[in-house]
Amino acid sequence: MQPENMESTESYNFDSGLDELKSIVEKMESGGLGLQDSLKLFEQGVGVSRRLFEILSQSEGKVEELLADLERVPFSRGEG
Amino acid sequence: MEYTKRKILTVTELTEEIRKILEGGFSSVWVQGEISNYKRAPSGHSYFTLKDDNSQVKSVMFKGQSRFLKFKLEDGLKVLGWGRVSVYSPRGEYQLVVETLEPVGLGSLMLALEQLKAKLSAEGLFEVSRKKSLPRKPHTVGVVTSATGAAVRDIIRIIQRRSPGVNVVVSPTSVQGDKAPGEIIDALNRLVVSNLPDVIIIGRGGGSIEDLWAFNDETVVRSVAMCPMPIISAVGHETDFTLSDFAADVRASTPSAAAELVVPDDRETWDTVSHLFARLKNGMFNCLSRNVQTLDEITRTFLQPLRRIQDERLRLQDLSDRIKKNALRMVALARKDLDAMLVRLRPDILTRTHNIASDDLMQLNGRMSRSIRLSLEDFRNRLSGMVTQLETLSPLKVMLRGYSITFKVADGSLVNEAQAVIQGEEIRTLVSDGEIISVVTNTSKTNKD
Repeated sequence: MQPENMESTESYNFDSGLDELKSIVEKMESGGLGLQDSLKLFEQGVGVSRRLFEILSQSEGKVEELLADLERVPFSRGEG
Repeated sequence: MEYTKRKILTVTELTEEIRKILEGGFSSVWVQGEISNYKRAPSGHSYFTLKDDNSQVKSVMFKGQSRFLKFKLEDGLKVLGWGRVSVYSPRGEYQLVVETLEPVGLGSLMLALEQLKAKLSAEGLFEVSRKKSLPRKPHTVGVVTSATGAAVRDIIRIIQRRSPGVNVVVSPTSVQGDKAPGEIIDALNRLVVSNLPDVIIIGRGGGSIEDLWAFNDETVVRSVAMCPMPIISAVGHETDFTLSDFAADVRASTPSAAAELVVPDDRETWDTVSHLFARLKNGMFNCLSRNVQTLDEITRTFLQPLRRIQDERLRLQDLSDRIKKNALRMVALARKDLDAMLVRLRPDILTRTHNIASDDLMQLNGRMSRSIRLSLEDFRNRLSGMVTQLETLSPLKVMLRGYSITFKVADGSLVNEAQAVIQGEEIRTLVSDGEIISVVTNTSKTNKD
């Protein structure tokens, strides 16, 4: 179950990451920050952006079927 | 009439006759009316009155028949009933024994739906405040639908087109038929238990209202309402709503519409993130240029004194150079002058100059002596004049005119009023040429007005 949970956390991160990036940018644009604070925010913002771009770059989503015993198999029915 | 010819019936016999006629004549009747005084007895039998504007008839529906009703009986409901008339001998009453009932107007299915909707709504299952918001970009989408229908294909195709990185987990179920409600609930529960999806689509492609009926099942509707993850209902029908639609967090008109709702178009999201990233860079750039500007200003302020010191030093150097040069030139000039003067210096000129000076000196000396003498005489005259002036102001001069001054002998203090002395005290009176010592014999004050 552990990997699944981590996957869920990642997906949660996209939304919260987007929120975080927004608030970072707004803080940055509001001005009045010292160089050091700005640099820290910038670094943070670059990190968040990179993660968001990484998630957006994933192009291999899995399509699976959840069986009665919770086992997952590649979903093939419904094709064709 | 003869008594013997009369046919006399007991009450029971009469009732029995009536029963035969009524039950024989009305063994199968359709009656339409409105339900009132509805009561459900603990035994499970339902008692009510069917009435119209002018009449009413007591009715009963026994437990065995009530079970098959697809809707709930309630007062005011217009129904069409089928049954028979029965006479209850102990009370001499007749009643309608109802075998089947169906609502007039709405079909019984629709009525049941309305009733269930009202009940669940009263429980708050459809409250807007219960609705969860969808994640903007889910990681995994769960799909509860038939594994073989067009619905699942549409959903997968659209999700992969819009957000290729998103995972899809299909939890297959039948979506129509008697077993559908139970399977739908199982399929939904599997997804919930797996904890895989961050959002779930539940639905099926379009069909008749009967085809969609599983999504009106009370347990299915409750499962949808209780789903811990955000859930989109997509029971493919534009116009008809199922109760699952009301219970879901979001209703989509078709499975395809649900797929469009459930994931963002990555190109748009990419643009959004790119735009934010550009703003981030811009913000940093602005901050940097602001700081560089400040640094420039600071540097300028710091450098100014240094530059001035440098400037001053240069000017000083220049001045000192010029002074040095000038001094040398002046010394040279002075030496030249001196040399010239030395050449011109002759003893005879010196002697002659001395003689002239001697004569002048004698003359000046005489003039000075005269001048001093005159000054002294003038001073003396002015002094004697001043002395004369002083004398006229002196008390001695006043005394010559007969005034005198009296002092006490004891302490030498001035006596300027009668009370200043007492009888027998010695006083000293100064007159113009000497003094008189006397003893006070009496004092008296002059009366002044």
